[in-house]
Amino acid sequence: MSETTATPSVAQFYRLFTSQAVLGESVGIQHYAQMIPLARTNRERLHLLEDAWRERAHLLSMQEVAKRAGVVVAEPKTDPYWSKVMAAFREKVAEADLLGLYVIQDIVLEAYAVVLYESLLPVLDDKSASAVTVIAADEREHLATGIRVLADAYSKDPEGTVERVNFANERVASVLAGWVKVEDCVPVCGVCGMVGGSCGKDDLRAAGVDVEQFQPAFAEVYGDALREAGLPPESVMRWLARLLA
Amino acid sequence: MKPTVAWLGHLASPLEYQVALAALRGPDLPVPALDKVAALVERLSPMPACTTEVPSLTGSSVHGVYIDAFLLIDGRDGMSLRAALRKVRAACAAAARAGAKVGALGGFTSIVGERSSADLSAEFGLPFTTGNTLTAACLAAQVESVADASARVVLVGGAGDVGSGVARILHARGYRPVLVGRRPQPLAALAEELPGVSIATWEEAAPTADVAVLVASTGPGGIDVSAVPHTTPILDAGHPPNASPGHPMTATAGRVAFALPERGGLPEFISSGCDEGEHHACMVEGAVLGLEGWFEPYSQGRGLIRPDRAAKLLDAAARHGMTPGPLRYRRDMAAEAD
Repeated sequence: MSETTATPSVAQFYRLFTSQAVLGESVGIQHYAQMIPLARTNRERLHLLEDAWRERAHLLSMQEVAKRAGVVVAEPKTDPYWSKVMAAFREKVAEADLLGLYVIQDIVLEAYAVVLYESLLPVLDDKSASAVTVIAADEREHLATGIRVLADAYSKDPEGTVERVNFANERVASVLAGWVKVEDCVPVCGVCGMVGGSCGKDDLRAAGVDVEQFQPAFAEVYGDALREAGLPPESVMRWLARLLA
Repeated sequence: MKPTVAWLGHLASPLEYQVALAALRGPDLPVPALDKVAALVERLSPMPACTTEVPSLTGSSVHGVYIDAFLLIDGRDGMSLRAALRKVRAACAAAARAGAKVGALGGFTSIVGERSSADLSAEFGLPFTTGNTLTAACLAAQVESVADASARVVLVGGAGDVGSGVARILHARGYRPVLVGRRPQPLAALAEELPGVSIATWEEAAPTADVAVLVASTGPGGIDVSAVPHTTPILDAGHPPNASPGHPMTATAGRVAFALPERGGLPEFISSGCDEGEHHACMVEGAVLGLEGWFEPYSQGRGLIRPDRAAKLLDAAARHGMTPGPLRYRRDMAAEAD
């Protein structure tokens, strides 16, 4: 697509995409901000602050995309998917479990963000695609940080690290994988309660997004990250199996 | 720990993937519907599924990783060669990334590689073996275990890599097999190379076979064996099985039995389509190469299997406690089950 056009379906797609992206980036800001007090060194604190700042830049960039597309970003007070993700994150904050927070934010959420942004690239207008390309590259950097942290943790405490991934897989990754499930919302979505894809999947499909590829792509990026961190392939397969189909 | 061997393979059907997925998910989650599983597998990228340590009778062992290529080869769900090659390449790349020293292509991953004319070893800087030399050696040994050189051995898929290898090995041992295949030109070339070897259609050869060896790349049950006499052993090396169901003397063949613990430490994933305690010879070839430190594309496909190389590999495998599996006929297995 070379230029954003104002047909109702395109506008609906941009409204959905930018709203979800802004919501996700806003969650990212909140998450990194909650991690800062738990940082062990000033260097780590500054790094997390910078991560939050970059998420802010992404949010502003997505608002620009929405503005160019002539759509208003929806700001829901509660979202059935993100609420669950944030609740899981809060639990780990309450436990002051910084590693658990890294796994949720830098591994699971960033893997998800990378997949969503990169999946949308082919159907975006040129300016939006440029903005999203920059954001996706940033998210890949966050993911790389997560991999480094996870690898270090796994080499020191394999059992404790696996426990953290178990938690993040069950409480966060499975929720995200649920959102990208294709048939999950027929007749009524078991998570958001909306009928027949009215949560937006149909709009994505109508815009030419390969919705069916979301889940396998998420499994690939998320699984690669876990294996790169040194987690055993058999454990990774079990985690992925719990998200798929 | 980096793997020495990377096994690249796939399960035999969407149903096997469904069973594996259900087992991996655990009992608290529902079993996904078969059509959903098939759609998912088609879209999944190859990935390392598990690591393993294969022990040898010599006391050494080899560390390896199994990479599932997520190839669907069922007739109905089968994917195009182009899509399959994309997956095979991705699986090869995963093997190279894992740091393996030799890759073993199992099942259709080797067939796809061979049909594509791609040189995977050169492309990924990692020697890949099709594993077909050990498969052919095992099959020839299994034929020898049930029939002497005077027997009329019918080789279905005789022009293929494994089939031509079996023909050469048996011919060197005095057998004069009958070749059956879809491609007349390579069949004729092989018959010319091996004096006394003849060519026939399956319809002609089936009723008079003393032993039938099925090594064709068909979908499940792709070869109708109803005309084969009920006393004739059918050695089915297909994965999925080539033989149509119902023949009492059909046995899974081209598999290896381990002298050491069950399946020699190789995981369930790799044993798809094998009888208990056995494993696909093509995958075992990878383990033997790893144990021996032979980091080379020992089997390169395209009809290059030679009797001396097959004998060398079979000997090496035996040193490690890996020998051609005993033939278990459906008739006997059914009787045991009763």
